Amino acid sequence: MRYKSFFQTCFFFLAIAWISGCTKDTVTESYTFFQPVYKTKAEVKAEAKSGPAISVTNPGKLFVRGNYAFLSELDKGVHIIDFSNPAAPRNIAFVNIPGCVDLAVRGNYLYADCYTDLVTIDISDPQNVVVKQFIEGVFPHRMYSNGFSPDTSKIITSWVRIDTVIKHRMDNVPVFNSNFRRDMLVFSNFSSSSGPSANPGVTNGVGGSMARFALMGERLYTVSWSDLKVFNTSNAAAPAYVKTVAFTQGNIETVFPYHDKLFIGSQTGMFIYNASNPDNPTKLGQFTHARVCDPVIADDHNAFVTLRSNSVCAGFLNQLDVLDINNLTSPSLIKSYQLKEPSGLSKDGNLLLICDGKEGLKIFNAANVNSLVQIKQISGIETYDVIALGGLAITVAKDGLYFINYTNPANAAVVGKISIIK
Amino acid sequence: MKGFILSVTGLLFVLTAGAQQIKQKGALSVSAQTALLNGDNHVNGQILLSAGYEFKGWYIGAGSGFDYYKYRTVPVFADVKKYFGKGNRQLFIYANAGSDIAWPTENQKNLRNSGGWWGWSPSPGVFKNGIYTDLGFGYTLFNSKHRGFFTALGYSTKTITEIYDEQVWNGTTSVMTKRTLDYTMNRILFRIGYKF
Repeated sequence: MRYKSFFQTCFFFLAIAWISGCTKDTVTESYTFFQPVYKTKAEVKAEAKSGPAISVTNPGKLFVRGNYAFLSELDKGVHIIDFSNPAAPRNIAFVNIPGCVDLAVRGNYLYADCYTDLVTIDISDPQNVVVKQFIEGVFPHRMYSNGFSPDTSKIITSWVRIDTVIKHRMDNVPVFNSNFRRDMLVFSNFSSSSGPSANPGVTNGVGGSMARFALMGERLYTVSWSDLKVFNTSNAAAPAYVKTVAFTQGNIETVFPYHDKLFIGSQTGMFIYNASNPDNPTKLGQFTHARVCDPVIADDHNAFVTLRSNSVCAGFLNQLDVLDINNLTSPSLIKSYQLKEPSGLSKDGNLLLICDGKEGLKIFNAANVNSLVQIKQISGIETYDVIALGGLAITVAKDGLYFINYTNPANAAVVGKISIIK
Repeated sequence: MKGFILSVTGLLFVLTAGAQQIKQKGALSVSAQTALLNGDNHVNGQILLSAGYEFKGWYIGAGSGFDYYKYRTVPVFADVKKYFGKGNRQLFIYANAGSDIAWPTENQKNLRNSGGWWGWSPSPGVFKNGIYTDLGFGYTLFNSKHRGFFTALGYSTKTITEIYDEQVWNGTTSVMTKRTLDYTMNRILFRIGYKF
């Protein structure tokens, strides 16, 4: 009888446990996310100023004017590098511009994105730059996906790492199908290139092939995921927004100006826009290819498109496509050349310089586009973008900004470097 | 893992054979049992084999088997029972405690791989072992040779840990981080078995 009471008690407690929810399954999650730190636009404007040079840690786009290279520090600002002596380049100043990815330089004015705004900065004195103008909200595409909605009345100036632990009830059948988690945010970077300035008193700088900002004459063109924006920079200190041209498709990556044409690289093809009416670019032709990352440059007769496969653009191609653009409405493929992981490229006369990832910088003789001949490969650096400046190539690489003398292409060699310090 | 399971199975087989030989002395005992696990909106099963030494109403042994509740695991545990009463019908209480060896199915390892983002897909989860506990009471029906069926009701908890890489946006780029999930699963179980 004594035992019977004991077991009745046990049964009673088990029943209570079941009814009271002691069978709830739990999961304790330990994970990391990054939380934005906001500032008001007034605070950000007040902080957009030059300061002492800081180390390059996370380089973005490159623009060159005169003996100065302007290198964006992703989301932080712009490094100003004096390479008047390429063998001893000097990082002389840093312009603090929160949210900066892309840039362009016209005369003494730097145009850069400041999250959703376009900021114009007078860089006459790199040590004491002066903010001239903000055009607010012209890059609304720079929004976050995956449900994250930033406070649009403020600007995100930094992100703080947060390691957290939460405990919650486990799903009935554990399913974690979403590769995008709620704290995993991706946004479409927009970010330069340039053609000749129409105003002889104001010189446009030169951008790399990975640029999303391009200067042509007195216009600044910017591309986003799915549109092209036109800014009138005839008053270089105070550019004016002109219009937005919507693309028929998204996946736009780069813009390269050549004469009065804009060559636009997308993940699925190259588009040619006629900008003879600078305020109203119109589509002339296109060349489509498999989905890959795709910067493009051009000359009078040919366009050169590098196709790169990676985790962002997917695809399976790693090659250079040389296109015949004599008929701009119907560009056609001349020949493809296999490469390893090509990205940025630049052309100087008959020389074609291609960043081929871990393979380094490759210099080709492109006099005969049907038979490119590699002249030189500079190995040991993982290259991303390049600007050829008549014998001096400035190359953005994984571990630094390299200055390469290719006056004699067969003996091209690194002469100077600004290191990236992580 | 397979080697481990084979070793445990072999050990239990030897103990079973031994029990057959000396069961008259009531020293060694083996029980094969299956259980219905009823937890958080989920029901699944468990198969266990336990072997040990029985003495003066106490049983001390070790067991192992397969637990299919949400994640497939292999509990390996110490098994203690206390019998009450005499004769062919006895009540008992028991306590099991030990390690819960994670042995997820391929599907369970790849629950997040249901379509990558432009070709990117997360790596399969890496699982770490946890703990296994089981407390309860039961009732046995013995025959004259102290063999017989038994039933039991219990409360069991098992834990395992899953770790996987995930990409998170740091404001500039995607960086790889690790997410750790410590699962704790609590179940009421109804068990039937045969002891010999």
